[in-house]
Amino acid sequence: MNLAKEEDKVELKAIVLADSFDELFQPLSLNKPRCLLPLCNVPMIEYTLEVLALSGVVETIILCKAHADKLVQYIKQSQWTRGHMQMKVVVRTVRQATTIGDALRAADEFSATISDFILCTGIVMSNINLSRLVAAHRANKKRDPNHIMTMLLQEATGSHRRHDLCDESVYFIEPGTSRLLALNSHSSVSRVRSTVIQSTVLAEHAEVEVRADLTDTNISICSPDVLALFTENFDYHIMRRDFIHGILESDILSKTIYAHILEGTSTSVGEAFDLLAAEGLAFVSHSGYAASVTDTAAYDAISRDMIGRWTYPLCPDNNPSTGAEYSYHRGAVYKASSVRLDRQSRVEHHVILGANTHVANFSCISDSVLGQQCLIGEQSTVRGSYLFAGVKVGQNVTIENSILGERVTILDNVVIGRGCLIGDDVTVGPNITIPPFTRIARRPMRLNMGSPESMQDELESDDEDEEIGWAESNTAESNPDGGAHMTEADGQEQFDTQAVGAEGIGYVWANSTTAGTGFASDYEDDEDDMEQRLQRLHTIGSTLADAAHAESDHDYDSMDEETGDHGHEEVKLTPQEEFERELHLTIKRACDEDLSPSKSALEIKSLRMSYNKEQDDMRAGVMQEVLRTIDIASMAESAARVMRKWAPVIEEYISDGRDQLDLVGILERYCALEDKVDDASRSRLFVRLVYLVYQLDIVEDVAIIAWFNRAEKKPASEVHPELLRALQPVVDGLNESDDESEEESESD
Amino acid sequence: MKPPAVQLSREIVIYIEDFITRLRRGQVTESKDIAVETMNLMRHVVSLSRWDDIETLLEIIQTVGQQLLKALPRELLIVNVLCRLLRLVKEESETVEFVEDEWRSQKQREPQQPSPARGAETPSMGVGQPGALMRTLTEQVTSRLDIETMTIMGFKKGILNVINEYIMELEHTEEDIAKNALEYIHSSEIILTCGRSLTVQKFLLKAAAKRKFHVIVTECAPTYEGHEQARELSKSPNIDVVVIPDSAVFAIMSRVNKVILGTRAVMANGGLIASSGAHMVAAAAHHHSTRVVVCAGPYKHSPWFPFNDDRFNTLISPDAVMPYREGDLVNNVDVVSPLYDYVPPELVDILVDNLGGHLPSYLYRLLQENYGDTKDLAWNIYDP
Repeated sequence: MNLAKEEDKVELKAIVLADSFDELFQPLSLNKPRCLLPLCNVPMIEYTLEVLALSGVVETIILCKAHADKLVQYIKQSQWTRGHMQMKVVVRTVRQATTIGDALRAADEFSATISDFILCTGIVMSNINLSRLVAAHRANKKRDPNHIMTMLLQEATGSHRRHDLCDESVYFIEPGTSRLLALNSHSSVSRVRSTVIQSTVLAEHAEVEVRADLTDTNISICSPDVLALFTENFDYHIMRRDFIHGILESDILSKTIYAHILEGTSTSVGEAFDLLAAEGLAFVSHSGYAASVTDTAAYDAISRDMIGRWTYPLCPDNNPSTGAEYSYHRGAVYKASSVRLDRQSRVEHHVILGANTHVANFSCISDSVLGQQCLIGEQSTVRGSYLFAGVKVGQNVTIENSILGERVTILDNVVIGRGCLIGDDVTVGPNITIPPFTRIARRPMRLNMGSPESMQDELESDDEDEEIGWAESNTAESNPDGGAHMTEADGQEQFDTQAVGAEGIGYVWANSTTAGTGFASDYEDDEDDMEQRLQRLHTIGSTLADAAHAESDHDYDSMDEETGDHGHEEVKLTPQEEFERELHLTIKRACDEDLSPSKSALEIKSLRMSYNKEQDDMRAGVMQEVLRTIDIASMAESAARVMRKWAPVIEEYISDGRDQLDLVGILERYCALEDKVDDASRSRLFVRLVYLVYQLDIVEDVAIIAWFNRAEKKPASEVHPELLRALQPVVDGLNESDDESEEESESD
Repeated sequence: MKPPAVQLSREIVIYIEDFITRLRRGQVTESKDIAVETMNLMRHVVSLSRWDDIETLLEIIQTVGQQLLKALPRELLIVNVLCRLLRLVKEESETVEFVEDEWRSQKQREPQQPSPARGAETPSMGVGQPGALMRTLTEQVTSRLDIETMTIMGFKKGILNVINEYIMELEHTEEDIAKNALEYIHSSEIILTCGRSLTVQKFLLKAAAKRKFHVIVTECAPTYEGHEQARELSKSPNIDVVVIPDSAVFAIMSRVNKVILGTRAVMANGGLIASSGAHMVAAAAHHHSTRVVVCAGPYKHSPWFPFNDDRFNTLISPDAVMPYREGDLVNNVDVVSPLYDYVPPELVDILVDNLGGHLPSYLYRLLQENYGDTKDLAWNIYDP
């Protein structure tokens, strides 16, 4: 123990590989290094540095290649370079490196680390004190001089969101000492159902633990030998595949690697380390959190963990970097002080809202992170997505499980499928559906990147671009008015309008594996391509099903059912027709036999159950049928009678402001398109109906006004202009009477 | 009313950032330590910053308070000690004024305008009015310039002395509270306490020096800090310690004579922000009409009312409640693990501080004595 204490006095160092030498975050990482992308609105590198500072690290070396100057600049102005910080942060540029191995070889050249150090291969996040892990590492070295590395692993069962879908690793660990005996990596795509155990592993050890529920955290404690080994073996490129396999399987090197497992047990960290000191045990598992942002899927999982406070004390409302203050609200909603939420907007749960963000009426946000200065238009839905600073979202937009870069503009009526990554300054829309797993960037991808060894070219080309300066993106920045810019830019550049919409600015960013095929929807045709599927598994919102696996993830499947109406309707066309017929008959019977509304409500409800219909479908169906019973000849009183009778039934299918808007839309569509109504009375009927639903308190005046304002902007093919004209006086009237309440809501 | 922003010197900013970082990283957690550390910080601020009248000093303190509160919005103790400090500075300034007036009347033998009434109970000065020291300074009497600077020096020294005294007071709060122990704990009583509290520990040990009694400690899952409390208490031969699971509190309450609780803070209405589990204990005690005694130093008395239960709570990692490895649960279940409970004032019978026992309804009086009109300044700090 005395010896260990002496060694403790040696300054603890850490090496952080800020570059991952892959392109999983592109095109988000085109303008700045990955480590400066925001995670829960704080640049990711902050978390890593915080963890290291908390662990008592004296000097941290950050190795960086792409956009190194931006990182240097960032660190220079950050809190880490202020005099009083105990930790020194040095950024080293490794220009020649193309893999992790190269970077570590470079590190070996300039850093003379004589003692054990913490190695973070990537952006990591943790809430445990790593210095105690270092102490354990050193203590164990006394027993086993060949011990050169301790890997920190986190337990996570197969269905866990942190579980790496691409890489099913099987760890062979000797119980008691926690020595790692072998490590087999399998790709999930190849559907491996078996693994191979080397006979020597079984022959040499009395007990072997085989575990497939461990996730690598990319944090390890290394002896100085590790860097030397990298230098000696210049064919080591990837940490796991080359180095760890190399060490474990080589008989000549006779070095050992140990695993430290973060288990979900109630043993606290302190207790575990007390045990460790008392019994001289190598590594006692304990609870804690550690993770690494390796791909966008991990980015998603870690953000969720952070919102769920698993990473405490690294939480949004306990921000390590100064400047952003969030307050916690029920349902894990974190709000900056200057957030503006309109009265009818819905912020559901697991949401972070950055400073000066505005969410407009009838829009809905859940499980998402919104950066500073985000604007969400009316009737838009953002679910499971990450919007960086300055994103503008128009009206009636749906965004699912995607990441949107800085200053992205989404115009009206756009649907963004899951797994989309949209780079900085892109504009998308209007009226377009972006298929899942599309990547869009502000600039086109170079064709010479199609080759597999493109990594180096690409990284270098990044640097070139920086030097030249990306002229177009500059104009986009300088011109905040997206609309004006578009016409101007269209003259100069030819964007992928097929993919990004008529007024869109941007290009589809195909991965190097698919470069040349161009459009991302080709994915579906080309499912045999293993690389593609792997790439997709690395992406936010992906499930095993995306890799054509039989297994499915409940979470995402249910989500698909909710929103993927288009697909489902096509398949279930017959049941839909059947349902409509049934509904028609029910309502007709109710009218003929003059049943009470409560009775028919019950019947309609049972219909809904048997056909498993959504609220929206029900509303549309019921309204349609009810409106059909209006006698056009004696329109005024017939409409009043019918509406009054059915009001309680209709109200059942109206739960919030959004539904009200929808209802007005249904009325309008009916009046505009129904054959039974003659052209002369269409507008009269519409005004009458709107007036009635307002009178009967089914729809609030705000909703009518909001619908009207939106409808005005729509093309004539979607909204009948005459009907709108007829509604104008009603809306004016409502506006006047609504002035007072509007003033209230403004002052909110 | 927003005080004008005072430019803090680089040195002070470094001290403040260091303090905030240490608190954020959980390197200071004990409530007394937080209070003492805050005062130590303020001692640096007072001695290092440049100010030549009371107004500026008060503004400096408020600016620092705003910065601390912005960074650590849930830390009630910081506000408490800062309010106390503001009060102390004001009192000190009044004595200086007194000396000044005396000196002036002696020296010049001229009738002076009567000095405003003062005393511990009746605060004489609002913040907006220029202080006496300020007034004398602006008189521009050149011949007295060196005497004035001397006064400032003396005043600064005085304030630093007051701060040092206050730090001493903070450090001895627990002993002072423990002096009252014999009045509350009698021989062979059964006392129930909840979780870990240094104040309660000293309180019980002090009583155990003279009397023999039983203590039941609830373990306070998931932190199990009750275990540690029990270990400490069992060091005394006169205390018979039993640890019970939290679920057994109600069952055992009928045998308990008294509940003694520690707390993180006492809100202005007499409610407590205490470690989670305290509400359940207090409610059970209330049901059995068992008396609930709360030991809390005056620095834990907050001038704020608990308008929002969540506002002052801290949610920690749900790790201890639900293992992180369980993928299906972690994906689909929200687990909330609050560190504190809010105990409503009607469940609290007596508040014991260094002066003795008080009813929760009497708290307003204690607040007035402690903070005077600086309570209003707390809002100033809170909402810049």
